[in-house]
Amino acid sequence: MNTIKRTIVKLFRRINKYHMTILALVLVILVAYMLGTVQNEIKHTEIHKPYFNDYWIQQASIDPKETVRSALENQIEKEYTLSIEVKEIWIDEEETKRNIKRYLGSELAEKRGWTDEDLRERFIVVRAKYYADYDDKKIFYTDGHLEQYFYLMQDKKNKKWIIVDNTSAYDVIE
Amino acid sequence: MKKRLILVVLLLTLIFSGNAMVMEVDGEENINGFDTLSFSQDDYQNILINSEKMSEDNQIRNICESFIASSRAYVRKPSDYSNSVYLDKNRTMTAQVEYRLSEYDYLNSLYNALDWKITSDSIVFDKFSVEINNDNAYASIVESYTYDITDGFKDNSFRRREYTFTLFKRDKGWRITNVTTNDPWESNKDFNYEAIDVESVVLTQVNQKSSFNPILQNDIIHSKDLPLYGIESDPLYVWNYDTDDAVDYAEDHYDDTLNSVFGFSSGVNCQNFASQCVWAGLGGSGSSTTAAPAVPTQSVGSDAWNVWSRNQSTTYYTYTPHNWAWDNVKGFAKLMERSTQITEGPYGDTYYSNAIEYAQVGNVLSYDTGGSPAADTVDHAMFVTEVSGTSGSRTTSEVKIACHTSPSNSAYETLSSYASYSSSYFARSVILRGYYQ
Repeated sequence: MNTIKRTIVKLFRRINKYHMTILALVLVILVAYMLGTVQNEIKHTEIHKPYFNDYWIQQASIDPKETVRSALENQIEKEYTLSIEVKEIWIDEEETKRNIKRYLGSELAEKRGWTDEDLRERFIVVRAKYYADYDDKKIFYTDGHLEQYFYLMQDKKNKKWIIVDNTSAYDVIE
Repeated sequence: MKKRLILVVLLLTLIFSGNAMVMEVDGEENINGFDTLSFSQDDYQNILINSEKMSEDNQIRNICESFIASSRAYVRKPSDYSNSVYLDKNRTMTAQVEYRLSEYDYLNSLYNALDWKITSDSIVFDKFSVEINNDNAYASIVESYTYDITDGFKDNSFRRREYTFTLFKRDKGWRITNVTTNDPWESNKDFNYEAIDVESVVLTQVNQKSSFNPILQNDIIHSKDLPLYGIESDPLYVWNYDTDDAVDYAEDHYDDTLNSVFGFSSGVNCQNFASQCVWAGLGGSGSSTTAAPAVPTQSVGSDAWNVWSRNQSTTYYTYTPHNWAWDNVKGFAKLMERSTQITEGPYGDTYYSNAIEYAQVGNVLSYDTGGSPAADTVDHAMFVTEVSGTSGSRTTSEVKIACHTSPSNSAYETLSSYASYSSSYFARSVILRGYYQ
């Protein structure tokens, strides 16, 4: 044990500026190598980052159909959209009733702050038919001639409707 | 003295960077192997004869290496090679030896049935150790086996495993009396060594999906749930699918509108959520979307069909929704349909009829709004959190689900409340377990 101690002490005594420079250089090379590895990893994940979160770009409107139209048409702003064309939008009374029944007094409604009053008076389901062409190398969305239901809530104060959720889009035969 | 110190520092640097390199190639550090067909059967036997003059350690080493290499050659050309010459013929074959020999028959038959061919290989041995006790010897050796097989993947396949041999010395030298490996299933104390019924196992492996009878779905699932008979690929380990963990995840995240790990797509997030539940059931945790149990392109390449990682796609399919197995409902159904025990990822199957009747907790359900569920028609994914009634006759009122995109009203919404489709509109992906390196 003492021999090891003595050797280490001797070694440290002999270290001069020259040795420190060499050591510093070695450390710089090692740090650069490690940083390179980390950056490669980041590069890998960043390739996919742009669509990590993807929300509707919607313009709230007093007409719920116009809110949906804006959300669909604004898809063109997204890099993965090649083309989009809204064909038809209408309020689906039956789906509205069905979904109000589903969500009334539910755990989800509570978590999202949807009161029974909100659901009964300020919830609506809008159905849209549209054509979308997405770059399938960039995004996983179904495209073609599609139909989709949108769930909207009306703001109590300004009476404008916003999309709070929606169904999956499904392709339809045109 | 200065020079000596500089030398030491440089040497340490080299060792350090060398280690880093070895870690990166992981298991490929041995590159000077030989093709097992580069020796004839006579060559292998001559090695045995010539080694009789060598030290006992080297004799045993040569026998072990020759047994393994000629077995690999036998898989490729059974008519030209035999490994039985290394076995002690004066003893009854142990179950372990019978299993080992049948393993090579199984591999040969499987490759033939799948129309796969090993076009070249390279075998390297290391870490040999032996303990000799009079006429008995116990040896172990590690084989690193790299091979090109026409299985549709560009990359070489690689396998590394340790063999343990028992040998007995007779007049003509040492002969093998027993052999086992450290394959994970063999290490399992419950593993039952017996000769593989090659014909029936291969038949089941190859036909397990085409022979599907929807009426007997559950039975078929169990027949898919085969023991691993030394399947030849990178060494894959079984990851259990814990449906409790998957359901816990569904409970915690069914109401998400954002997710710091997997992100959120307000237009379509149903399969992203269902994949997350499966991921959690397979033991997924933490903040990496590319670590196992995900199967990222970084691991399997960008053209592998089994890519399953958030926002990652493969180029494997021409029908592009199938390329996005994590995020697209059609892609996930296809992934499970195609899953095998010899490829990384979740393993199970997808059934396009009687899905509700046989639904089980931990399944991923999907429906086709057109009423004809198939891998290229399903539109929406849901995760099964609870079932009641009897398997085989369940209804949509006896299945509870959690889902995103038209979110379920809780983590346990009854399917009949959620969607007004009849049972025939649904498909069901079953996850049995995962396989990972």
